[in-house]
Amino acid sequence: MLKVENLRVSYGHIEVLKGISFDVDPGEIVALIGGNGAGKTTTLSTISGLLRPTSGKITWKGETINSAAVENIVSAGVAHCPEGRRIFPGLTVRENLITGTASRSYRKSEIEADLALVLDLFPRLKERFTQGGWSLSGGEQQMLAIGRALMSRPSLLMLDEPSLGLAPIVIEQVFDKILELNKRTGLSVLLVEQNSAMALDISARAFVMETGTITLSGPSAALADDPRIREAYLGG
Amino acid sequence: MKTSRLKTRIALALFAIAVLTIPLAARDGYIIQLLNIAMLNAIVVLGLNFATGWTGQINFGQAAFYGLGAYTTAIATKAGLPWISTPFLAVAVVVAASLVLGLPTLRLRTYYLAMTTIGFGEIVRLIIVHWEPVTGGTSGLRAIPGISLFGFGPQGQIQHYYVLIAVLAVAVLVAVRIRHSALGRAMIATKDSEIAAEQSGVDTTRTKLLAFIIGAIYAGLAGCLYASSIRFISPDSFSGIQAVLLMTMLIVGGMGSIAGCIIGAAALTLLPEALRFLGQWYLVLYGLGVIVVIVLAPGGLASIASTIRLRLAGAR
Repeated sequence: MLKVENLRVSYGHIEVLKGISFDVDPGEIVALIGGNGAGKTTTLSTISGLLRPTSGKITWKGETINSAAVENIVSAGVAHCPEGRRIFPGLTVRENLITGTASRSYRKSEIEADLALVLDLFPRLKERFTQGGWSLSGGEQQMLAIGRALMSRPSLLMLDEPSLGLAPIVIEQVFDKILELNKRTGLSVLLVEQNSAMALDISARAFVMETGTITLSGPSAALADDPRIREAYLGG
Repeated sequence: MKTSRLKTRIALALFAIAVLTIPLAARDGYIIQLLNIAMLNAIVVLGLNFATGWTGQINFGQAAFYGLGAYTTAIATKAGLPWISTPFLAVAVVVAASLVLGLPTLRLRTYYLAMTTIGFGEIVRLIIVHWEPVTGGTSGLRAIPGISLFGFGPQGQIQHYYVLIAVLAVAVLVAVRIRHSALGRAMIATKDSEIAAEQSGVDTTRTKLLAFIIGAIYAGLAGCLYASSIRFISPDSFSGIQAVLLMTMLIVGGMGSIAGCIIGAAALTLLPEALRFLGQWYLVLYGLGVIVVIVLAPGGLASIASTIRLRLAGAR
């Protein structure tokens, strides 16, 4: 469904992605793991149109989206839930969620139905519905950011470090929700994580990135048993 | 929650009664004149709030849009055009000007955008000063025909007061509607995080441009009413100093708060007059007052009530 072929991206003279290729199938959870500076966030930002590749090809449902505008990529069904959550503190929880529908014009009844779905998935947000985004805890903000991304009715959800800055118990809740969402709706997920153990646990396949290249790939269960991965990312 | 809404309604009703009866109590024409200017400033600051308070784009060009509206109106009515045409002319001129300024510059950020808008304000001021045959140069334009719809129009300060109250009320209602529309959410999303807004599908360039244009329309219409109610205009009223003053009203009143725009405009229009007895010391006190508000209430005067309420709730 999403296909990335030989993708190269540079910041000025520095090449950060040195020709990576991977794909995501419908209904699949795929993880991109690797350390700081490997190029994981750059990969997601390039897919969502915030950065432009120097060469290579990104295809979404058979169409090349290398040079599409950010909001057109969202409306084509690729939602990006950015690193550090980036919710809108000046808007209420409800307004944050509705802003997720900005890429298309929905009827009021459709928006209400989608809101109900998101609130059903994240009951905490229901309790905070009319509060300002600034008043939420880190875990609630992450749920709001995911909920906002879901409001654009994506068929692929790209999550950038959803565990960042969250307490272990909250991380578990967030990952449970991601899994539940995938099982319930068949939504594809492209997950970028430094918490490799969690990422390998919920994904079907994974790609390991190191300084702009993909060094290993395969079924997540097999990677979790691979001695190289165990040593480098899972703490031995 | 219901009782608090009721309280707000009662407070608003009392406020409305007070505002409507002011002219009966204060028969002094000078005070009414000041209040009229305060209301015009409030409309301009409400406009500034779209781009700066909600969308986060610094705009020092607001005084120039105010001036463009005023000069368009003055020149048109003095040339014999009917008054009814002037709001439309003023809006047409400021929309054209805001497109010329906004289209190429709104991709700029922070200081760069601020510098560009300062430059724009200066260009407009210089044109007004130097195009003397049309604009009257530094001495301005006098005896501008007043507001008149099919021969009817407000006479005297008090009648203008009521006209301006009505226009200000409409300006507030429109601002409230926009704040709670998709455009309003897009504005605040753009200010809070431009990247996240785009990732949510918000066209941030379009949002900034619309915020800018709507703000210019507010300023243009206020300028139109300024020219035809004060009936004398000069470049001083729309200079760079005025642009800074409008920004100060927004900050002191409360960025992003509709009530704050009105409080800020009223406070900074009336305060200098109230402090006039201090002679040349008034500017010192005025400056200190602005600093005190910014340091003690960074959310502006409008935030003080809710801060106190939070403190009381916390102390309990």
